[in-house]
Amino acid sequence: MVLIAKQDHEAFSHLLTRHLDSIHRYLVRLAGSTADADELAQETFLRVWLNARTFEAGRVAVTTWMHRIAHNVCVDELRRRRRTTSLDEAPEPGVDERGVHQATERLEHLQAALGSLPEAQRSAIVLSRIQGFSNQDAARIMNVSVHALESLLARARRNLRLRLADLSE
Amino acid sequence: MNIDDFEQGLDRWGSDLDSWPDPERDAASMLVERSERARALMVQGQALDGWLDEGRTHRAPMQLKQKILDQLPRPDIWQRAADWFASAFWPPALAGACALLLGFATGTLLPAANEEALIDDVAGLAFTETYLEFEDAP
Repeated sequence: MVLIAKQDHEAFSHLLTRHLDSIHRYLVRLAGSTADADELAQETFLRVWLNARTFEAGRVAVTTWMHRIAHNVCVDELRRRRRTTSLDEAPEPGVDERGVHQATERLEHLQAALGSLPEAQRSAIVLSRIQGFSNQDAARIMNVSVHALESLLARARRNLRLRLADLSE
Repeated sequence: MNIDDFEQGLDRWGSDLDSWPDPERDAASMLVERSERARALMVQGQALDGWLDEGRTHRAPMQLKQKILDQLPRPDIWQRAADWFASAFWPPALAGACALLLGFATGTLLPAANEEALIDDVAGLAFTETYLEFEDAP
């Protein structure tokens, strides 16, 4: 990160190679579409590049710090869209028409089910269960208490379990 | 433990009973053995965990990395200059340059020494029998 703060392109390229898949996966699960995740990933890594000086080594892990940026970028975008798009025009949450043929049916169902969750529950379950963060780190990324995160996780699991049961029937 | 407690536990700790706290784990195991409803919930929870595990396999599009690299702003020349000045190399280089400049300035500004007088002084010291001046010495 020290090198990236000094605008070292090679160091940034290494960082991308290492973290792009993980950040992109988080954004796909959160935003609901590959195309959106591409744009959000670009914005996320641009912010990483521009704000590398503010990273404090030893305080948080690089991956936690970057996920926090990705989380903020995505949540800002989702809120902006909610403000600018009327409910009638709103697309079905989590459905990516452009990428439907790319994904397996089960992953599409997962994506649709995740998309049906409220934003905070979706972030919590994706960070904790798919991205593999500890509850403490996931709470830090979302800027909530660990207790609040655990509550969000439980509600997310219940909603997903019920959704999955519906799909199985 | 009743079914509601078990369901809450599933939502809180997942379908792997090993990750449940001790007292709840034992109670949950017993409930799963004797209750068909608990077994059905357990299967549902395991399916959810398997489902979420599948979500872990994901790769970003191949061209995305290059796209991100291409969008980076060009290096700011003033920023780079500021970085260079702030680098660890700069303070000793500055100190060395100042010392050198001071040396040149001193050499240039001081009046030039009279070389002939200097040679006479050196010759005098080298070849005069100065010990004569100290003849009276004990």
